[in-house]
This record gives sequence, structure tokens and C-alpha cells, in this order.
Amino acid sequence: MRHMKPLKTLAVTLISLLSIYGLIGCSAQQDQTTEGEKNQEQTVTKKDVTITFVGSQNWLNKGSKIDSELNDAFTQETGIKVDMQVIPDDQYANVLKTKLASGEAPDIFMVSAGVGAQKFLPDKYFADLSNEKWVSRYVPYAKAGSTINGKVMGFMTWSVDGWGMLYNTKVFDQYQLTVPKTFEEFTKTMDTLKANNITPVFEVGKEAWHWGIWLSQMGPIAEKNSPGLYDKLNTNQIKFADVKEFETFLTQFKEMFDKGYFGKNPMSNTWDSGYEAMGKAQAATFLGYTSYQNEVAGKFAASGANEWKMFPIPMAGNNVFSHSAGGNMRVAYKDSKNLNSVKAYFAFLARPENLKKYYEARPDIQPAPSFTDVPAKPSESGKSLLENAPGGDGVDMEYGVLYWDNTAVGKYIQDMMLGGLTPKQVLESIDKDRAKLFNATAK
Amino acid sequence: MYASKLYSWKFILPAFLLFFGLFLVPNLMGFYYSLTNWNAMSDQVKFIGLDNFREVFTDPSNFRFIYNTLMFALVTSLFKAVIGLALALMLNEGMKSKNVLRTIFFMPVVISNLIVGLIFQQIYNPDTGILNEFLHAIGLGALSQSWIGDPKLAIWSSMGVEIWKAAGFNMVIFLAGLQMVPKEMYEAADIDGANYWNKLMKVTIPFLIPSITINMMLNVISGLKVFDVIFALTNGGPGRASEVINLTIFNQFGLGTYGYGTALGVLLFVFLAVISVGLVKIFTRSEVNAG
Repeated sequence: MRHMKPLKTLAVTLISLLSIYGLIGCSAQQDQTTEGEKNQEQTVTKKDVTITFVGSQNWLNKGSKIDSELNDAFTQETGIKVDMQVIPDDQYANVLKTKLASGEAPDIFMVSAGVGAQKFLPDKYFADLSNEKWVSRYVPYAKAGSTINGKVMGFMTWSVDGWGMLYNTKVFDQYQLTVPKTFEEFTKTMDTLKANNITPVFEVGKEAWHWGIWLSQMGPIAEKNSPGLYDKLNTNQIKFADVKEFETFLTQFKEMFDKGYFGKNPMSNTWDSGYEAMGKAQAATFLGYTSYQNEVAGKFAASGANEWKMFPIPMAGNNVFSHSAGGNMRVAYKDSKNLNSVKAYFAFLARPENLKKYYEARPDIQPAPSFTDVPAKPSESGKSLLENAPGGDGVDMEYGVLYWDNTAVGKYIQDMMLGGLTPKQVLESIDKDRAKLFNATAK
Repeated sequence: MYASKLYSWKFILPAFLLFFGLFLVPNLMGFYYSLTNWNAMSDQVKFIGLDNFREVFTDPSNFRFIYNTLMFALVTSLFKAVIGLALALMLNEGMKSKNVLRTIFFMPVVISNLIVGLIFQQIYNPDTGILNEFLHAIGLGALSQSWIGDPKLAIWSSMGVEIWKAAGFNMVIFLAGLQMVPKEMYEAADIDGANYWNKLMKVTIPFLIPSITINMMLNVISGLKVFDVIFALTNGGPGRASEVINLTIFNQFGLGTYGYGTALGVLLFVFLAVISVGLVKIFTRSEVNAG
């Protein structure tokens, strides 16, 4: 031993050290296993799983951290981690579709209710949730909006909502303005506001999708004027370019832009800039959803935004309250290996106390919650929008017409505003995009 | 023998297999899918021949993104190289704070393109952005613009961002190239009575040809492939005024027309291949001549 070479000594030492560590490692692991088994006996659901959850930016944690908080609470209770990934609104549909198409479907993803869900191939990707306990506590619109081909496929914690012209009642009173019912009256109103250096209509024009929302609201009046229009659009029997209300609307819309009713630089306004413009009374009206005023009030308390009211877009003869099919919903991926964990997650979120927490943190979706456990809190604008809509109500095109894409439509409208396309060409461009998909799906 | 010094072909096998599996196969599949009506709404993929390509070239609304992409590549490549070279020459020697300045000019390269896009959205804001405020402050208020809201300006504003961002990268490559220029050449030129301009044109530039080649190659390729800066800054808007080919591909995928999107991708690929090979040919020829 005395003649052992230094290298050999080192090797022997290292080997002995490694074996000792190995032994320690083994015993530690054994301990862990036993502990793990014990835990498993105590709480059956405790697993080392992570469920992935993809949603659009403005659908999650909006104005709060409520989604993250509920996820954390769920993880604490069950040990199941929730990996919530938020994607910018503009690109959400793109990213999700790409994920689905490339076989990287998340365990949970959010989609629009109504026909909006169709473009994500419900039969192929959505799990059937009809037998979940919480389904019985759905309010009717939530059940209808989340039902596809007779099966409940979505977990919805939203509010049925619609888009209308929110107006600052103080400003309207100040200039003795009344709710406009026709485009002529609307023009006069806007002229008065403009003459007084108030932006008549604030448009968040950098967001292409918001331009698309405008046209989407013209669907119900067109359907009312010629019943069966949506069916014909959805079966490709009629084109957008053939609907005269749409062309009239776009012509009037362009006139508004050219007359400067949308302010100085509408194309640079981001969504967030709307709160300030309305909150500081720089602008008098805004195309928003009925709970939008709550968000303005939250950010600009002095604005008195809670008192503001709404009227339907008074263009192309519209007098209808156009609304969604219930906003959006979470769906479970059909072939997810964590389907049971996902169902446990939905069941957790559907507990009355968690729903209450959720809706309390989200003033924007309080008007008409999707579960019977939570009381509805209609906003001033929601109530007034119904009063100002003698034509009744209807589902807007975003939720009622196949292959509708707010962003794509909005880009054509932006193009029209900047002189690139005529109103007719906008409609033809929409038709062309839809034709591609009708052709592609033709059997 | 010379031949025996070459490595066996077996050495390239691992790399080639990876390249084949992860790059060539997907690309070849892309070629096939570009000939189909692959889409989001149905599971069926139908072979439709060259219809997608026919549509790309017969739809007049596509000419704008083709023009935008080419202009973007051309303008940004030139300006990035010229500004990069000027910075490199300034910061090569003789300045006390050159290391600090080098870092500052290189910094934009490190920042994520999406963040750069969001920052410039604010800088370009016509009402509150610092660019217009600055113009007003120095008495040039008349030059203030709706930088990304004006369809004629949007693509140019995007080019400005790309140039600002990548000029520093060009600078670094040029700085490295400048280290290769032997000092003796300048000394000899000084003795011959050459002025700065002579030395730049006759000594510096010829030695920099390899750096210029690599910079121009990278600039043109990144210019044609531009996506994230424009995506974050204008998202191709207003309307489709600042749309470039990669954004169109992205949007087509969003609409669910995957086959058409893939066809555009194939076109970009072919175009890039032709341009890259062409550029290498042009620049290596002048390298040989210079040598």
C-alpha cells in the first residue's frame, strides 16, 4: 500500500466516495418513496402532474390576478400544477390553431363560444363535459353557448355581453344631446361634439380587430331585415358583398373617418388608450361592451363612468342589441392524458365560493354570470342599451357567422379608411377569404 | 497525399442526419403541402397542384407585401452596413471612451425584438411619443408625423427600428475585420502622402471585403425574413400597409389556410436560396480579385 501511485490513490478515493454517495442516495430515495406512498394514501388526487392552459391575454387575469390565485389554490389543494400561458389577443387564434395542428395541444385552451368554436374543430379536439356536475348549475345562455353538436364542450365562467356605443352622459347633457336613432342624427351629434373639441367617437384604431367588431354588430339588423341570412352565409349561399346593409354601413363608416369623427390619429390608438380618452372626457363615445364602463370607472374614479349609458350603433338603420353567444370558455383537450386532472380543475373552479371570488375580481363580466350561484349585476349601459334597442336583440357575426375573423376583417376596414379599398372591395375581400375555407372544407 | 488528409465522409454523418431529419425533411414536406389545400377546418388534405402559387401571383393585393419585403431587405441592408462601418471606423481607435460607446451601440442587438417593437410603439406615438416631442422641442414640429399610423410611413418607420437595432451588430463584425488590417499598410500609405479618404478606399475597404460579405449576407437574409419587429410594432398595419411576407404567412396560418401559407413559405425559401447563392458568388469573386 505504501507504494500506491498518487493517481491510483485518487481513483480509489473517488470510487469509495462515489459509492458512499450512491448508498446515501439510495436510502434517501427509498425514504421519499415511502413518504410519497403515504401521501398518496391520504389524498388520492395528489399527483405530480402539470396541466397546460393556454388563453388570450385579455381573457385571463384581467385587471386582477384572480386566475393565477385560483390556480395556486388548486395546486395547493391537489398538488396538480397549472401552467397558464397567456398569448397576445391579436395572435391568440393563430397560435392556438398552430399548436393544435402541430399536435402540441395544451390540456386546456380557451375558445369563443357559439360558432366561434367551430374553427378549432370541436369534434376532433374538445372533450365532452356533459356529465360534469357543474353543468346543472349553468344559466341557459351558458349552456347553449357551450353546447356543440348536442354536447356540452366548454367550461364557461363569463357573461353574455354585447357591443354598443357607450356615451358620457355628462358630456351629452352639457351639449343638450340626445340618443341618436339614425345616421343623420348621429352625424349631427358628432358635429356638435367635434365643434366643441371633443373627439366624437374614440376608436382604438391600431387594433385591427376593433374595426372588425363594428361590422360584426351589423349582422343582427341585416338578419332582421332578411331572416335566414346567417344560415345562408354559413352555407355559402350568399356573399357579404350581396348584403346591402353591410355596404351601407361601410360607406357611412368611411364618411365618419373622412370627417374626422374618430379624432386626430385614430390609427395610432391602442386599446389601452381608450380608458384615458373616455376617463378624462377627451372623447364622448366609444364602441365597447356593456361592462366596459366599469373598467373606466376603475381606472378613472372621477369620471363617473358608472353612470354612463349606451345605444346601438345607429348606422345602416341598426336598432338591435347585438350580443355574443356568451363570450368564451375553457375546453379540455379530448386526448389529453391529464383529462381527469383537468376535470378536477374545472370542478374546483366551479365551486360556488371560487366562482364568487372570480366574479368579484372581474367587474367586466359581472352583468350576467354563467352560473346560477352568482347574482347578476347589470351595468347602466347594459340596461340602457336594451331600452335604446326597439329592434330587439340578436347574436353578432363574430359568434353567429362561420369563418368570421375580426382581425382579418378589421385590416380590410383599416385599408378602406386609408383609401386602399372601397366598401364593396372590403366585402369582396372577406368573401374571398371565406371562399378559400368553404372550398377547402367542401366534401 | 493531399487526399489522405481529408476526413472520412463518415464524420459528417451525425451532423447530416440531424440536418436531414430536422431541416430537410420538414422542408421537403413543406414543398408537398404547398401543393395541397391543407387547412384548419377539415382533416382532409387534397392535392391541388399549383393553385396556391397561381393565387399568390394573380392576387394584386399581394404585390404590396412583396414590394415591402424587397424594399425592407434592400434599405435596411445598406443602412445597417453603412452605419455599422461608420461606427466601427470611429470606434476602432483613438477614442478614450470607445469601449463604453461600443457597448452602447451594440446594446440594441441584445434586446428582444418584441420589446424593441413595443418600445418604439411608444416612441412613434404621434401625440405622446418622444420622437415628435423632440421634433417640436428643436423647432422642427412641422416634421412630426404619425409614424406608424400613416400607411405610407409605417414600413419606413419599421426599417428605422431594424437599422437602429442591427447597425451595432454590423459594427462588431467590421471592428473585427479592422483588426486584420496590417498597421504597416497605413504607415506605408502615410509615407506616400495618402489622406484619410485614400487610405479608407485603397487600404481599409479592400481588407474589409470578407466582413462586408458576411454582413451583407446576414443583412439581406434577415431583411427578407423580417417578422418580429414588424409584428410587434405595426402588426402589418395600418390595414396591410406594412405587411411583409413572413407576416402574411403568419396571418394565412391564422385564417387556417395552411396550404397557401406553406406555398408562400416555399417561395420565400426559394428566393432566399437564390439570393444567398448569388450574393456569395458576387462577393467571393471580388474577394478573389482583391486578393
